Amino acid sequence: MSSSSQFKQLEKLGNGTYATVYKGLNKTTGVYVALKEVKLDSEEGTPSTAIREISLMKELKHDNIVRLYDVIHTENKLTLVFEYMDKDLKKYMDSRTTGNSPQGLELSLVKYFQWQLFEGISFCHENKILHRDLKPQNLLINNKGQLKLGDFGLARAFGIPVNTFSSEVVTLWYRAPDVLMGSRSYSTSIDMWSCGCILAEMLTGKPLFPGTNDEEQLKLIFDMMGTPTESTWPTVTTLPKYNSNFSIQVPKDLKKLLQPFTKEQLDDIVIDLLNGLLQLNPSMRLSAKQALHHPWFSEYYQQQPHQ
Amino acid sequence: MTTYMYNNSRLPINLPHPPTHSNFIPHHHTQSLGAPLQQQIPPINNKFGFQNQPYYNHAHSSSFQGVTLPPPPGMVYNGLSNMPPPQIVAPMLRPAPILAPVPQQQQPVVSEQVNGGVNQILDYDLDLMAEFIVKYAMLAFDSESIYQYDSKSQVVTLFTKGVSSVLNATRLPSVSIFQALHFLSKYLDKLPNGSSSIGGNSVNVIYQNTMIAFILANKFNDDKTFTNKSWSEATGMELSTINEYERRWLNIFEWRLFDDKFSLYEDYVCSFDVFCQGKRSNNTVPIQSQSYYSSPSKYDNNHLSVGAKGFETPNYSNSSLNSSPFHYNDDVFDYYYNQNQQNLSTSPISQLSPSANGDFSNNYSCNFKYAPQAMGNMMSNQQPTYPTWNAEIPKYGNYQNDSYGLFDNQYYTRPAVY
Repeated sequence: MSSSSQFKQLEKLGNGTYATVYKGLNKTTGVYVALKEVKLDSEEGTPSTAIREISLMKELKHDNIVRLYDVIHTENKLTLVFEYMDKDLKKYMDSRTTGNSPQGLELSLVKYFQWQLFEGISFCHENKILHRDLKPQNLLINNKGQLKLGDFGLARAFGIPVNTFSSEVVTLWYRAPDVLMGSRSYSTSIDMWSCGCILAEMLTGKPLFPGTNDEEQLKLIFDMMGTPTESTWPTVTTLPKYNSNFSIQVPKDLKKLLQPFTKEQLDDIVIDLLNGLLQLNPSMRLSAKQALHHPWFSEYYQQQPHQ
Repeated sequence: MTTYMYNNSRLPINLPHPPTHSNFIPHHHTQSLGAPLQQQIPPINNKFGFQNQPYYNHAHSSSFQGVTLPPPPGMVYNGLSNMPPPQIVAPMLRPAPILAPVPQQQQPVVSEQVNGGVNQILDYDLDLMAEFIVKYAMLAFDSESIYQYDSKSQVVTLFTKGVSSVLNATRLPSVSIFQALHFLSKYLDKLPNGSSSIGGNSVNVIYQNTMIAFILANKFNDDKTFTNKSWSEATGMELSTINEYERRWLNIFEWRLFDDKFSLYEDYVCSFDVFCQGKRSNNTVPIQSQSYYSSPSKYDNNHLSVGAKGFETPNYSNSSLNSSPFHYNDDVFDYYYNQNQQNLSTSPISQLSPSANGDFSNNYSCNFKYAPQAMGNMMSNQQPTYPTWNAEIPKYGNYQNDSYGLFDNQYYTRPAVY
């Protein structure tokens, strides 16, 4: 157990959903850390976000998940000591923007990041944990090109009944259509939709579905992916916020839509992966394991001697 | 013998057509409220020795500084002669306010209509669940034999009413309740000296720690959570006590609330079902008139098929109870019974789940492969024929030949997964 005196607090790195994050230096080891400070309110007690983030991350030791080293619990402050990462994917993409026009990343880098994203989320899902807030801001990267999942404040255990799942999860732009329509029976597929949005965003440098409210968000999704029907998605009409007046759209050619914004020529394989992730019907969406075996990654998994 | 029949007036059968509108708020506790009950409950001289439990210096002060709470019924104070004046850590049994959950942090909530509690519709019978929790908690603390679990006893009744009040206010889903019970077992297991590390197994200690388990399970598991202040109102515990206990729990757990992925969840579901079956059989209530779970068949394939025979012998329990060497002191019991009779005899409306419409299978049963902790005591040492709930309350003598070695392992059988 560490004490806070062990760390020298350096500059502020940002504000999380319920905390402030500072860079810190472990004075004993000389290693940089990220210190996430949660102010404690006696009426609230220990925040549920902290309880989940800590208890879930303690079970998630993986190269593509930010490591939680320690927790310092004092009377009025809770400090989470995390592995230090240089920046998040959002900041990184912003830094690549030239002038006013966002730029996609190089395909090889997109592939490497996306692979690591799948590795991380696959590990979460294997451990019965949903992240529920995947977005570029929560994907942390370091100067070695490693990508790690961070901010598990909205994460939740699954595998036990889901009767109290909230539909108010995941930042709007990365929220799956089933969740937008009020489904509470989601599972791992909720994270896979976000992975699809992130993949497209890395390719083009801009968010795929930048809606401003639930209705607009759904409209943007249906405009591009087509409007779901009972035949393409059985039971869709029974979702709480399904609206029979959704304007009827047919699926568009993603390659045509995205190509003008990407750095390099898109091939059909990456578009196929994207389509697999952006399936409106959650039961049709690729799982993280399936995604890792997608042909787009063949150069990675063929390198692994045992597979 | 007919003395030990479960109080029929409390049965869910009172409500053949439960209200189905979503804002149904059970009037469970209004009747206990009627009586002003300002009487001071004098300390009981409990004969069973638990007052000798050493009180731990660490941090219990706050919970025993006489809080002036709305008086009982809630929790009986078990007199510890050498302790500070009786403090009754009692849930307030006014019509339990349904707590409003903490708003979620992230997105503006558009869709949720504001509703109290975690779940509008409970997926269990509240009275049965409260009894189940009390029984489980007492077993986990190994105090069941002291109190000689008996749903008519004062201690148990008041404890049960307290739990029931809290459930009514918070409307936790069953999964969070089972998780809480699991936390409770794990917590006791992690304590260096078991329950004596936290003040022994008096009802106050059991009650307070059970409440902390609820709080942590709610915060861990539910998307609707409550502040500790709300919990304080619902449980009658002081806010500072809750905060202190919460921290201690997290510290003892080293925050690892999910290290076993709650793999025993289905065993808890099953234990509760068995418990309910036993209760219903004991009361000769037509099973088909009630429904709690919509799909019990889910478990059918995975569990041994042990017939429900054992649950259909209510009389079996009487002799067992009466022969117990630790049977309740009749004087104490009578005293309490008289004091609180009017409250005890209320027949609260049970909370049926209006949406559940599956038949409760009379024939399915569970295979407690990984006897869930205290549940193991309740069920697995009786294999292969499951007893009625009340049939064989374990007696010390029984343990010695018990292959589960309950007393070697101070609390319960260890599930294989640990």
